Parts: sequence; C-alpha cells; structure tokens
Amino acid sequence: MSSDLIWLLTRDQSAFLVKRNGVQLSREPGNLLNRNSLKYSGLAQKKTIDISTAGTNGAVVSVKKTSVPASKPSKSVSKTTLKKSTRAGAKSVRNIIRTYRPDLEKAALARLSRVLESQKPGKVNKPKKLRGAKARKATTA
Amino acid sequence: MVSITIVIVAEATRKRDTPRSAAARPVVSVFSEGGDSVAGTVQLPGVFKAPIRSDVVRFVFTNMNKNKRQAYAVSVKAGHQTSAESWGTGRAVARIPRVSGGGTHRAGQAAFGNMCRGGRMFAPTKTWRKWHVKTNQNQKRFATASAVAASALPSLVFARGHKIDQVNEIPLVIGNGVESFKKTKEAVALLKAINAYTDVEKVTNSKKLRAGVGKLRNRRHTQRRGPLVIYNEDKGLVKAFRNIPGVELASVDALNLLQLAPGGHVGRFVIWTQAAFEKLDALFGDATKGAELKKNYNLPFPIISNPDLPRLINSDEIQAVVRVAGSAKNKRPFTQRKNPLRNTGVLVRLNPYAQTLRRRELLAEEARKEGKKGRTAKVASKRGLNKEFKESLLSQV
Repeated sequence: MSSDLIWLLTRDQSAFLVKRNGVQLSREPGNLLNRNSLKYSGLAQKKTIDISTAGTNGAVVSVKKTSVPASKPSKSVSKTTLKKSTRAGAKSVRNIIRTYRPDLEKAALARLSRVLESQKPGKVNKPKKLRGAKARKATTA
Repeated sequence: MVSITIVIVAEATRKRDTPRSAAARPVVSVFSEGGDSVAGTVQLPGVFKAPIRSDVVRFVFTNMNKNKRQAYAVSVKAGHQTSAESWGTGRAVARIPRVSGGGTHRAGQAAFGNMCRGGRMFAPTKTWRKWHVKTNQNQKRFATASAVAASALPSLVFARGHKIDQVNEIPLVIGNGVESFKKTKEAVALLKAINAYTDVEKVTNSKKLRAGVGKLRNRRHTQRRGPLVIYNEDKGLVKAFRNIPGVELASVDALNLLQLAPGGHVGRFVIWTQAAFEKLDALFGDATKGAELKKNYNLPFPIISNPDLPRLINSDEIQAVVRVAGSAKNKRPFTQRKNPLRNTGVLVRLNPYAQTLRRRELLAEEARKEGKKGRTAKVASKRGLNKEFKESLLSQV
C-alpha cells in the first residue's frame, strides 16, 4: 500500500499521537525519534527500524521485512536482541541500517545510546554532611 | 485527502481501470475454525480496492451517529407560570416583569427573563429540534466500502489502536465452521489461537468509570472497542461471541459504518467468516461488474490507480517529460555567515585597509608601552639615587 496515502490518513488521526506542552509526538513502534512526520513514521513507511529496551540489559532491534507482505503482521518483523557493549551494539545497528535505511542512521544510533544509557545504574549521591544542631546531636548520640 | 496525489496523474488514468484479470487479484488465507492452520484461500473481494476517503467516512459517520437520539426539551411552561407584569418606569427598579401581590418573598421579584431566578431559559429547547439527519444512500455505501477497504490495511488498524501485531494475516478470514460455534469457551479459544485475544485484553484493561453524569444514565463504564466479527449466517456464533468484552458482531448483509469506523476513524479490526467474505463481491461488486444484491450499484473507484507517489515520480513516463535537474544551487557557499566585526579574516576580505589600520594600532600601542616602560625606569632609578643619598647622609651622623 502507498505510504503517502497511509501517511495522509494517519498524520492527523492515530492512536499513537501525543500532543502536550506544545509538542506533537507519536509513539508508535518503529518511530526512532517519536516525531510525527512521514520520514520517521512507523506506520506509513515500508521500511522501519525499532530500537527498544530489552529489560535491564541490551536492546531489541526490530526491522520491518520487505520480503514479507505487510498484510502478515506477525511475520513481517524480524527481531534481534543486542546484548553487547555500547560500541559493539552501535556497530551492529550501523551494519543493519547502512543498507536498509541510511537516512535513519544518526537517529538509530542516538536512540540506541539513550536506550543503553537508561539501563545504567543511576548516580548515588553521597549522604549529606550534617551541620549545626543536627551534627551536634549526631555526635552526642 | 487524496487530492495531492491526483495532480500528478495523467488524464488517461481517470478512465475506469482496464478490467483486472481475476488471477491478478491477491488471495487471502482462510484459517481453520481451530485457528491453528490455513484451511484454504479466497480471492480478495473488489470492495477492498475501494478508495479510502476519511473525509467521506467522517461526514457520513457524524450524520448517522445522530440517528439514535431521542428528543428532549424543558417544559414549555417552565418559567412562565406566574402572572408577572412590569411596574413600568418611575419606581427606580428595572422594567422587567415583576411578580404581583404581597405576603410572600416572591412578590416583587423579577420573572420570565433568562437572567432571572426562576425565569425561563434563553431559547428554551424544543422537542421538534431536527434530531435525525438523512444521508444519501450512495454516500453511505461509499463510506461503508471505504471503511471495509481500510480494515484490510494493517497500518490503519494499528493506528486505530487495535493490538494486531501477532495476528497472522489482515484481513483475517476464518472457516465457516465458526458460524456454528455455540459456546463462548470455543470463541475465546479461537480468538486466542489466532492471536486476536490481546485486543480483547486491551478492552478488559481499559474499562473505566465514565466521567460525568452519563454514569447515572445507564452508561456507567467506558471501554475500548475490540474486534468486529462479521458473519453470513448466525448458527449460534452471535451468542458464543457477544459476551466477550469489546467484541461486536455484524451480519455481512447489514454492515454498519458505526461499527466499521467507530468515532469516524477507519481501520476497525474485522474478523470475517469465509461465507461473509465471499459474499462481499455480490454485495458491492468489483472493478468490472456492479453489485448483484444492490440495484444499480457500482463501487466507487480510485481517481488514481497507483497512489504510490515515489513510484509515480520515478516512473519512466514522468521522468521522460521533466526537466533535467540542474546543479545544486548553494545559497550559502560558506558553511556559516561570519561577523566581520568579530572575525578579522572576514573583515580584511571586505576591507583590505583594515589590516593596515590594525597594524598601526598595534604598533602605536607597542610604542606607548615602550614609552611608559622608559618613564618608569627613569623614576625608579631616581628613587634608587635618593635612597643612596639618604643612607650616605645618615651614615655620616
């Protein structure tokens, strides 16, 4: 089906659209920047790549297959889980996307890096040094 | 909606398509009643090639959606059950009608006006409001055909919010045995087998208390819509399916736009029985012949037979007549505009004399510095002499 037609039908009306604080976003799978535009659309484009988190470790990369007709949703996506270091993961994403959708390379790498970063343990702040009356109280106790 | 693509088409494509041979039509798998295997195939009915016009669907939907309304109005007498008369001028109160008499608080109060307490409302609602809207039959059929065609595009079904990513095929056709299902247990097993049950789960999880006063008017909860099961003959399947949350049923003979495009949004997840699916050609006809079961009805056909825009642009026909692309014009040959007041290189390029000026300025400054240095050295040497003299003077004492 024509991606232009699908885009015209879904750009204004879709279950994935989010509009708040003056920004228009779209959260369908396959939208690397979650931006509501034809280029990044996971619904309209025939070739999309989706990068999402694989639990606590690694990322899932799902690519829409061009060999399978879109009318078969369960078979038209190939998923690979990357349980690698950031660099190695970036390399495999780059290898996938270079021939598939070269225009999305930067966005895909950016998303991968954000996904992997989100899995790192957060920074733990040092306990605050007590001052004044509280410090005195702590030493006497 | 489709209008922007129309511009590109040559006039020739406006004519009715050359009859597509039946063999060229795609086939759709028919899944067995158990949902686990493919029992056969059917040809895709012609209605799935109908143009998807969201504007037509929305227009027909808003009209049809009004046809279930019941009349309501305030009482005709409300606010007028008093014999109030205006006091006229000269009593230092507004000239609005006032309730006559005494002995009660109501006496002397303003009445009738929409601004008055106990008055009538502005433009009281009437039961003879135009509640129902007639929609042209051809428009209704166009909208239904559009909605049916849209239900075969996974992207649009996704965009309507249905969970179909594990479903094997869209449009989803099940063997005729499903029409004789009697038990809901069987129906649930089928939905699970064809991976359509996630859409039912979505419905169950979405059940919420309705906001507003509709709660008290037998519309207590709101929930999403699930799959729509379309059958040819009910041999028990309506009772088997109807208690599953969100699942709706429709006979293929009475397709309803309100179900095919809830909210006016196309892309309902439809589960067809094979008999219903096969009947669509008789109901709507296809590109070559009219509908058997409708009098004088032909399907609308797309103004543009190939809506794939990049394919059109890159076609030989179009490429043969477009001008050759010229060399890219770079509006900004330098990557960034530099400010000559801050960037000396750019300044010199614009004004070669600036370099001389700057050099002079620097030399002058150097000279000034040198001069200053000389002066300070002189003063220091003098100070040193003074010190020596003072010491020698004191040493003689």
